[in-house]
Amino acid sequence: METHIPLHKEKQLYTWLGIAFIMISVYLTSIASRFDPYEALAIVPGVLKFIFTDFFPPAAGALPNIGVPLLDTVCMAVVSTILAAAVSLVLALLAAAPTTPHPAVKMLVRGGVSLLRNIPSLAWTLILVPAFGIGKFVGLIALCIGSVGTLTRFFAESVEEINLGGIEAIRSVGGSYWQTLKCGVIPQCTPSLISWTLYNLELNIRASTIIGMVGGGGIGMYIQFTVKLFRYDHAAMAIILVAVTVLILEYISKKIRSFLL
Amino acid sequence: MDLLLQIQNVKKSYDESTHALKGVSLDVRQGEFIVIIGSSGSGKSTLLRCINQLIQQSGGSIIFKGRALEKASKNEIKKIRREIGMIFQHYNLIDRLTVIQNVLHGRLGYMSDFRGIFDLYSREDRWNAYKILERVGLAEHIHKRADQLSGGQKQRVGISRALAQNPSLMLADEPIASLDPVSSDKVMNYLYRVCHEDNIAAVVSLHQVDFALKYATRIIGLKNGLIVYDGKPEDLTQTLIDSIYENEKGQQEYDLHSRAAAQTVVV
Repeated sequence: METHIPLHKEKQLYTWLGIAFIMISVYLTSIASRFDPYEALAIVPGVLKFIFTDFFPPAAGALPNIGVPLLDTVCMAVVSTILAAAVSLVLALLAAAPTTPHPAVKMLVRGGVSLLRNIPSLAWTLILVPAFGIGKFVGLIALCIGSVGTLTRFFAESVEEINLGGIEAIRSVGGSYWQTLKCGVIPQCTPSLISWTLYNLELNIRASTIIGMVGGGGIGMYIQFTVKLFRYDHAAMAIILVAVTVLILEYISKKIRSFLL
Repeated sequence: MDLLLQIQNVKKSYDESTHALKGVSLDVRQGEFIVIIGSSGSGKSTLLRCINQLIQQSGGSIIFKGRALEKASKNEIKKIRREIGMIFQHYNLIDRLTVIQNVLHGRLGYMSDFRGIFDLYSREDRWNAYKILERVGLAEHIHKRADQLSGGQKQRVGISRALAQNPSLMLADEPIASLDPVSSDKVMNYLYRVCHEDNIAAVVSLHQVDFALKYATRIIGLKNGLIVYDGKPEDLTQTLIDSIYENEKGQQEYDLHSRAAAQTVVV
């Protein structure tokens, strides 16, 4: 005799409850944020018209002015990533279980970098502009701080993933702490450290553009100026070049990372 | 024969309820090839790691060449470790480094931090490392990365790294437990030969009683953190083996006859 076989033992009540919860949340938050779907649809034509008449065609004449700030932005990203990677390596060794001198140090460093990480680079720039003034230096410092937060955590995780047997072996031959680090720990996590650094470089190239807009120099600042002067076609050219640069660097970085891992 | 190592009533507990070693006493003399047998969790690994202080015992005394390890400073422990080679079940090589680099790690204990960190191994050390690899049949592989080797080859690198230390005692923690029978035999052969030729005493923990009977000059049976057998391989009867491998329910985990029988069928 055939009987109906349900796919789940429990009733699908939880699924429906979940869907109801999401729908109610969307409704309540859209009221709270005054989101009006009709208005959102109504402004689409206006926005499209603005983009196509004011931003297009991108001004070829802007190219000579874009080169240097774009290079500045890329350089900021590269320098801040390298500096942050060096600092993060030291912090990560303090924050990773196999290498930390003391569990208290581990907790302290982890807490500290989590604070750095959870304040966005944009906020760091706003905090630092009054102290250092507008310019590339501020952008660089802001990127560094954010990157140290991110990289220390990733690096510490890489160190914790290594095979502890190798460390045990170096200790068993009478190796010192520093020898164990150099001969046992670092060789095992190098590919993963480089990979995370490149990933952070990708993030920083995007972030350094945004940071420029709030006073961190580079191409972001150029975009900000041109928009304020209503030279949208110049801004459009800059934005397109930023996108192309990010894509190229991401492509290269992904290639290197897939080769390493 | 000279007394090399004295283990006196050594106890180790990881917490209040787990006692890995409950009072083990054992003397190791020069030229001995001691095999420790016992089921998983009997305390073999803990005992071996107490000997080179990778694990500190909770009680009792370990005296290596007249020096009590529990009274030694960190620096003294490092100096003592140089004289004790260790081989591991999972080889514990640094996979991304070359074979010769792994072997030269055996010299780290003799080098300053600076020289160790910058790979400044002396000409002599490098040459000796090469000669050791030649001895275990790996001369043509010295520049291969360790992760490109087979399990048996990796373990021979492990033996070479320990030999590079120029040790007077060799510890081996289940050196062939991850290997197939043919590689196992080869590795045990190399291990036995180098220890014999260089007059290195060895303490080897094994799961395979047949290998223990083949190589050991003396067998220690360890069960629940206590020595239940200490004697010549010839005197080890099937009844004793059964009692060493007998678990709490009284079931046999190891049977020499049925294993031998199984091998006959396969061959």
